Amino acid sequence: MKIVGITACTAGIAHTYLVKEKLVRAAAELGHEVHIETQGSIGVENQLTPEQIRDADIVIISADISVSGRERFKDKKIIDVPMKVVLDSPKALLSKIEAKINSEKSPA
Amino acid sequence: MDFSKIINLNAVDIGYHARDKADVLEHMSNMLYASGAITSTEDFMADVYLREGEGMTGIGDGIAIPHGKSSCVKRSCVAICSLSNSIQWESIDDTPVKLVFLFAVVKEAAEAVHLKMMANIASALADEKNCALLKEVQTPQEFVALFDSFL
Repeated sequence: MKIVGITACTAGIAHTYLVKEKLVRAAAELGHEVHIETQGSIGVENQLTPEQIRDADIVIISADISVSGRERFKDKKIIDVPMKVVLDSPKALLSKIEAKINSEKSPA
Repeated sequence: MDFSKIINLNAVDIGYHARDKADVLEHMSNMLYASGAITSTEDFMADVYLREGEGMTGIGDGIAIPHGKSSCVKRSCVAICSLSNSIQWESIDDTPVKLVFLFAVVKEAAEAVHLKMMANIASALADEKNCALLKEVQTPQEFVALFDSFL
């Protein structure tokens, strides 16, 4: 699965980066390709490229605040996930998302 | 990256026995005040509690990351308290907390390098192995050395 996403928490100090890291690690362990942009007090980091967005199977947005640049995903499937869910069980979350995507794909 | 620039070595306490969450937050805020990093314990704690109201800072595995972005913060830094007991704290996994990282952030945070270091601390906490090591720390300098090594 190719995943892109954005994390952004209210203070933009800690959860933004912690949740990104959790997503990245979980995805790596499950063998998915992942690019997560953070929108925190430092500003935007790891900004998603148009190619990454174009190739992504799913967009994951985990944020306590509204994220900027949501229009970049207008043709993509987006899933909004509470930060708490990512922190608690990131691998289970990704597996569920993958199952859902696979079940929605038309059979070959 | 030199984490001794962000970890306030005068605001690190290992082995503190806390009554509850309010007690440890007050203790850590007092350390920050005594070190000169904040100008008011009460104002700072008000901002910390504001953030507490916005979402859980207990990130699981006995670790909490409360933070206050406040006009009374003179320099961004992190206070650390490794408790001898464990206390109730709103956490994603409902386990009690033993290790608290309190981030004090200058309100108009212009010092990007400090924000970056705090972001790195937060990222490091995503790794259970790192967290296990952090819970065993015995001296303030060890925290600095560990975070330096995680990068």
